[in-house]
Amino acid sequence: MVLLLDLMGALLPLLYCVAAINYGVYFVRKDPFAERTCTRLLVAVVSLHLVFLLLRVFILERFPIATLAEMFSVVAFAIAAVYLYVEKVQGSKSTGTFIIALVTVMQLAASTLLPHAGAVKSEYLKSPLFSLHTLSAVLGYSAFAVGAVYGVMFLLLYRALKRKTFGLMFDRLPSLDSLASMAFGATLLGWMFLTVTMIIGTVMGVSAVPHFYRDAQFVATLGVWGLYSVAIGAYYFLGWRGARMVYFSLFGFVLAVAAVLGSHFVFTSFHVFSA
Amino acid sequence: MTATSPQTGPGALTLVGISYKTAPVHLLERLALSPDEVRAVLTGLGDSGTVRDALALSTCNRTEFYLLPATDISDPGQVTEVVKKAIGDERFPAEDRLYFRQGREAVAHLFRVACGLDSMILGEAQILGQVKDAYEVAADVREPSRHFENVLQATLRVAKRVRAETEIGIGAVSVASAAVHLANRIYADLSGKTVVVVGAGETGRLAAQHFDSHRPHRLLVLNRTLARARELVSDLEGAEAMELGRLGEALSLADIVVSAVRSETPIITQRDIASIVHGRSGQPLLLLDLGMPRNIDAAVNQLPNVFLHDMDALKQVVDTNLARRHKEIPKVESLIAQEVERLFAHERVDEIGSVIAEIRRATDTLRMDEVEQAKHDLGEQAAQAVDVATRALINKLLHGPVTTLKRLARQGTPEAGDKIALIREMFRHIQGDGDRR
Repeated sequence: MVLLLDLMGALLPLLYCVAAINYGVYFVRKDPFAERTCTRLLVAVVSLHLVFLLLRVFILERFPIATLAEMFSVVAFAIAAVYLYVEKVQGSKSTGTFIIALVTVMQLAASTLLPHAGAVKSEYLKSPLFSLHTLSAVLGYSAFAVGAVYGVMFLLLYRALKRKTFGLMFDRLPSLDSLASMAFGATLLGWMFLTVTMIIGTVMGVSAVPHFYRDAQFVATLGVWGLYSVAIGAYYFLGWRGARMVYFSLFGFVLAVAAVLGSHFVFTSFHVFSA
Repeated sequence: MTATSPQTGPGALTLVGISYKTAPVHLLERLALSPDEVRAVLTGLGDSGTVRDALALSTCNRTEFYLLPATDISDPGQVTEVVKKAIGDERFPAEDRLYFRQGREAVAHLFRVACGLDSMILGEAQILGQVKDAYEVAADVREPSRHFENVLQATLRVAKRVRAETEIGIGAVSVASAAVHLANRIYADLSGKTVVVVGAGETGRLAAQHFDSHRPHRLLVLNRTLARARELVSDLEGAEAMELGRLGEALSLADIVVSAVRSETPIITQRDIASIVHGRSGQPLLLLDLGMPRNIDAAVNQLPNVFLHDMDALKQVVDTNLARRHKEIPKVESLIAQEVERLFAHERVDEIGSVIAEIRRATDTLRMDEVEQAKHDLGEQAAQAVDVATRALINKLLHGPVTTLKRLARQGTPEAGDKIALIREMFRHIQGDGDRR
């Protein structure tokens, strides 16, 4: 069984890479074969990923989100699943190559780190409330990642329009306001999940961890949440739109990534569950 | 020799026509037919007795007649005479302005025309609608024969396929449509947007018409002379006319500004735009400068969320799209070649059906003769047994030749045609023998 998991772990980034290239071929050439196969291939890879995660749950007897590698893998899965939903709703495949490229990088990082991940040491992982806390965090960060990718696409098109370079980005990407609204929609969704994460985390922290509010990841996440709250407030109350919102969201995403990585590698945090 | 008779199938399709490629505008105008005239000409062609089916495609860029003859009129001179008679000598152009196509070439030409490959603006879609209209009129004047129907249905099919599978019709190829295309790269939906068109001249009118067809929230047309702006908006649904003096007010409402006036100095400055950008909270503003000299200060493009595009940029969009369409030509030609082959293969298989029926009739006549003979010589009961046995025998004997005929028909090569002719000849002898008995 472990061998099968290792094999799937090695295969997943490769398959995501093939799916991203297939979406890329469709994006660049509008190739009919790529158009027919890109969604089907991604559905197959995401299904395989789901099996991979379920097998890990079965073997580890816990949610596979205790280590950074596990977190990356679950986030990669969530982003790919969210993308499939967005593709179905929007009826457009032109952003697939960008999103799935990000998924590929995340799953590659996960698959590289997984064999070296330390043993899990925390009892929190068996708590249902903790599972809800981490699940909403994963979904929140996944949504922020999707929002960031749409933000990057927005900036690419913005640049093409400013510089009058009527090439591939100009032709194939969705319109500037569609990208802005997709980026904002994903950011709003991420903020809602992060709010739930913060509330559950605070409830758990008050009862279980003394001075939990001094924890590096808690402080950093609070900062990220605050930044996104300001951006969302500005959107609704000050009417902020376009590039300004996108820059704010991208900055928030960079901060979110820094918060997660910093609490694992730089600061000490009770959020680190592996040895 | 092939199975398809050149007198009836698409192999007999004959085209005579004139287009912008072969004639100047005044000749095209002279031969251009109104819908009523098309009906009259088609009726005349039908009444001539030499034409079984006819379709007349008359647009501002071409007038073409596609004919399936009732008799053998393979000579271009004869074709010209028939069409000339139906139209009238005085309107008919000199022969050196006309072009003729027959068989595959005529079918391929019709396919190319329907796909927009032969159009002045490569890949334009309007021509397909005109082909459909011509088809409807032709069918209304006279019920088309099966062969003609097959050709016309194949034409519509190939045009749809080309539009779906290639990019021959993709992208804006006029300055006004490029302006709308640019707006669509910023705003997916123009229905909630306010468009301001400055100038009611020809360029302003075209831009206003193009934007109006996308139903913007508001369409404001500004001009130095209010009467001229009013005249322009009278043709547009929901558009409003304003004097140029109210430009500042209009700009504060605008999401898209199109400027096309004659002015020596810019009528929209960086200061004008900077003052309204602040209140837009980062919402993009598209400025399209179609004036010559330019109407908008180029420095406005430096402002955040402001996108200024001038005539050069729009021409660049048009040229890029046209170049992309040109790149698609080999793909379209390949699809057309496939569809021409498919049509002819279908016709051959269709035609071979009658050959097979002919062979079956011949063999069955022989068989029934034998059954009758058996009834006479051996009695009713024995004749029934002979009937069953000979039916099974004939079916087994014909299975091979029938399969071979269908395969040869699909191949459609001259060699295959020779073999089909040989098989027909053999069975004709059988029939002949039967007849002699």
